[in-house]
Order: sequence, then structure tokens, then C-alpha cells
Amino acid sequence: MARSIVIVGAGPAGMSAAIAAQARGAQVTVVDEAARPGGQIYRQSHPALKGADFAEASERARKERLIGAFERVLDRIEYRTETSAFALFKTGELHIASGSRTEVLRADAIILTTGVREIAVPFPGWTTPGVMYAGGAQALLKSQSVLAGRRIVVCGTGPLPIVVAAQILRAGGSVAALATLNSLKVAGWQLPALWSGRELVREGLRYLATVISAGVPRLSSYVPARVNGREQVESVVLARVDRCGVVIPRSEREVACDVVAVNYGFAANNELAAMAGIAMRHDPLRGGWLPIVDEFGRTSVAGIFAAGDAAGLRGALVAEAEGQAVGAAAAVDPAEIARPDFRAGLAVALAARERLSAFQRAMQQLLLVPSGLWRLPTDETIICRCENVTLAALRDALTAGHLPPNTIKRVTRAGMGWCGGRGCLQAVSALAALHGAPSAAMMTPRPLARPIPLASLANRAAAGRP
Amino acid sequence: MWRDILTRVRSDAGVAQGRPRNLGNSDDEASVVFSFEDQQINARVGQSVAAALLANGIRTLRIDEAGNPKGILCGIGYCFECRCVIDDEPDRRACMVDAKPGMRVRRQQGLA
Repeated sequence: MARSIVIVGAGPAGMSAAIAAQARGAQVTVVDEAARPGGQIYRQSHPALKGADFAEASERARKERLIGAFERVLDRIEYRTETSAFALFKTGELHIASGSRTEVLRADAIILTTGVREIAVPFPGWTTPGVMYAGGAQALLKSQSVLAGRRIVVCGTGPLPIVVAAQILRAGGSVAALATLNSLKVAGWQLPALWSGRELVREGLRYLATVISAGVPRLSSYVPARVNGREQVESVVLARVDRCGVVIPRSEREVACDVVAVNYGFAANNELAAMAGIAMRHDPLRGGWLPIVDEFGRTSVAGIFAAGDAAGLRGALVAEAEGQAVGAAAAVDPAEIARPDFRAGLAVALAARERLSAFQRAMQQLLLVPSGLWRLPTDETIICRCENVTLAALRDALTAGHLPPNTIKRVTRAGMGWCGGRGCLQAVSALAALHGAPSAAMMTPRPLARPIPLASLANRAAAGRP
Repeated sequence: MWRDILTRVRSDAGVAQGRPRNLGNSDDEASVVFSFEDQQINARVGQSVAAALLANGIRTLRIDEAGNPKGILCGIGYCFECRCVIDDEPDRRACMVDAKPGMRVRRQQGLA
């Protein structure tokens, strides 16, 4: 009988795993929250919008090729759109919700390709309408054909702010300033790594050229220090920080704008992995808490695999290559994975993952957030947006000795709201570290990973194999 | 093409006022009409409620329990900041719901 595989997420890793597993004869089910495949990086607009894409041609080609290959196997797999996976247990029970129904899936293998989400260092005024994640502004552009604002300041770390600024410009928008925390020079001299990621370097340089030729003011080592405006953003104050992330006095510049698009890197969507009791490790530059996996994506829980950015931030190309290897591994009898010919059959994918991971490792130096930056929020700054927990409230708890995230949550309610702590956990951990918390710790993951109405839980289909 | 884009960028510089906008000849393509509070909103087929409201200059989608105005943050559904009352149902994420003709959308105040 064919092995049954459930894949959570239809981004690059999930699509590629589905294709590989189906090719080896597995019975594949893909569940994804979106209406169309692609995940976040290859997000597609509604067909009626005929959304123009402002990405580099080579990136568009990758997107079309992978989505096209996925669409060609759709008649041989089960693809459940607009479906959330909200719980996973070490027994292998995967709970999903769609519309007003829930269901329990069991399979021979489950592959978690849940990707990453954006994070930010909170600053005064960051809850004002008009402050959004840079990738959020990009999502509005690429899937909704809407410019986030009339005059946009893009800021943060890593390559994403440059890409977003360039795409806004190419769409005919106005970028008032591009403020980046780390200079590109950090990665610039790592020539072997840059060579191994040359196609991405070329794309990055083209985006940078767009920004430069548009005459956008570029500020290196500057961060958004506060936002002015009550009902909506009227301006942002950018400040220069030193190497420790501490604001340099009298370096502030006010820039008029209606949108501040900010990205301070990414956190892995690890809720299902942690809930299943999978052994985790902490890697701050690759998305925080990650499931520990071997080269074929096997976790500490038999039958559960992880691939792509959810197993460590490395970008779409690594995710696609890794999806191939992990999809194939999940599709075969576990004993077969150890055989040399199995590995030999995946040599191309494994080599691509290796080569591009080296490039990503160099680029990740750009994602470093120095600890001093966490001193940007003031007493009134909201850290947990769902429960309106301010820095002052958090600090009261921290100075009283409530340092582990679970305790902070119980004392302050930070992380207890609608988003399930996905928005504030990084900030809470970083602030706890400033107050002497010994090491990074996780909040105990509990079901549900998504808010699900009680009526949907009650309306549960009979458990069964997919 | 590049000259064209650059000209547009320069002519746009300094425009802080006005509302964000749809790309392309959006006003001709707007074919979904729904309501937000007492206002009529024109959206394009396939646009989310959040994107349509933004293109119509509406950024505050919710007033939270503490009275703070809140708008789009993540744009992809994870942060739950853009919760609105849609057809009398509270806590719907405006960024995840496609605009439909006749939809009634309200700015959520606190819990409802």
C-alpha cells in the first residue's frame, strides 16, 4: 500500500516535497491556509487582479516554474486550500480546520513546511496605523496590487528592506528613505559565499540599483526610533545606532511619511513542531527555536519531518532543494533512507542545498540585532499588541524575577492573545535576557496553534487516514 | 521603461498627503461595492477587505480594548491586528477575507 503523507504548507518547501513524494508513489495531502499555492515568497494574487509582479525576472521564473510543476501534480494529490493545521501531537494526529469544520488526519509521515513570519523590535508609536512589516507592504503590492502608502519609509535588517523598497519604486510608489541597521559590507567580503549564491547576489544588486537610481536617501546604521501621529503615521524619527545598537545622541532625523515598513528578520513558525514534543534547538539568526532535523528532515519524533525555513531560515531556493530530499525520504520505507543509492538519487538536490546554505550563512550576518536595540521601547510602548502589555508592565514582572517566558505570560498576559504569542515572543525573550534571564527559553506550546471557534471544534469529522 | 519609472518616481516625490492607491486604472476596474461604517467602498475583484479599505484611504480597522487605533501589520493573517466586524461577525481578519459585493464591514471597537 502507498505511504500516506500530509504536508503542512504550500510554499517552496511544501510544493517541492509534494512533487517529490508523489513521484515516489506516495499518497500526498497538502494543507495550506491560502487560497492559492506559493506560500509567502511566491504569493500569488487573485487571478482577477492580474497583479503585476515587481520581482526580478529570474525570481519570477523560479516562482512560475515551481508553481507550474506543483499544479501539474494536483490531479494526483489532495490539495486542501484555506485550511489551517491547528494542533499536532506526537501520536501523529494532525488537527485541521476548514470553514466551520475540523478534522483529524493521520498519516505514515507528516512534513512541516510552515515557513517563517516577520518580526520587529518595538519602538514608540509602532502600533500606530501605517506601521507595518516590510513583507506585509510587499504582500499588499504583489497579491493585492495596492501601494501601502503615498510616501513610505522602509527600514530594518537584512536584504528584505532593499527588495521591498525597490519593488515599491518599480510599482511607481515613493520611498522617502531606506534605513538599514547593518551595512551590506558585513557580507561583502565573503567572496566564496557570494559566488555560491551568485544568482541571488545579481538580483540583490539590481534591486539596490533601482533604489540608488531613484535617488532614495539611504541611511546605514539607522533605525526607526519613534513614530509621530496619533490616528496614523505622520512622520518617523530615524536615529543612528552604535555597534551595540544604542542610539547615538543628536543623530535623529525626522522623515515625513504615511507608512513605515519595517523588518527585523524572521521567526520560524514552530508551534506545531513544539506541540508535538519534537526536540528543538535555538538559532537566533535562523528563526529562533527550530526543530532539530537530520539531513533528510527527520525530527526526534518518528514519522514527523520538517523542511524549508521552518527548519531554519535559508530562503526559497534552499527550501525547494530541501523539500525534494525530505519529500523523497518521507515517501520511502524508513530503512531505505540509509541505503547509498537513495542518497545518490538525491545528489543534485543535496548539493544545491549545501551550496546555497553557504551563501545564506554569509547573508545572515546582516540579520544580527544587537541587544542595545531592545532599549528603543519606552515605558508606554506596547510590546504584546494583542493584550496591550506595555514595556513598563513587562519590566515590573521581570524585575520581580519572573524571567521564564511561561511565568511572564502568566503574570502579564503577554503572549496570551489572538496571535498566540507569535508576535511578541521574540521581544519578550530579548527583554528577559536584558534583565538577566540565563538563556533563551520557549513558551510551552499548547493547542491551539490558531484560534478556532468552539462550534468548529464541535463540528468534527470522523478521524481517519487522509 | 526605466526612464518611465524614474519619471513617475520623481513626480511622486514629496507627496505625503492623499491616500494610498491601487495600481493601474483601478477606478475603471472597481467592480465590487461594499460598505464600511457609513461609507461606500469600491474594490477590485480579488482584493481583500483590508487592501480595498487601504486603497480608499482607510487605515484604522479597529479600536482596541485600550482605545488605540489599529491597522494592517503583517498583511498575511498571522498577527490578528486587522480584525473587523464583517456581516455582524466580529474578529474577522480584514487581510484574509476577500471583498464581496454587499458586504457590511464595521470598525471593531474592543470585543465587538
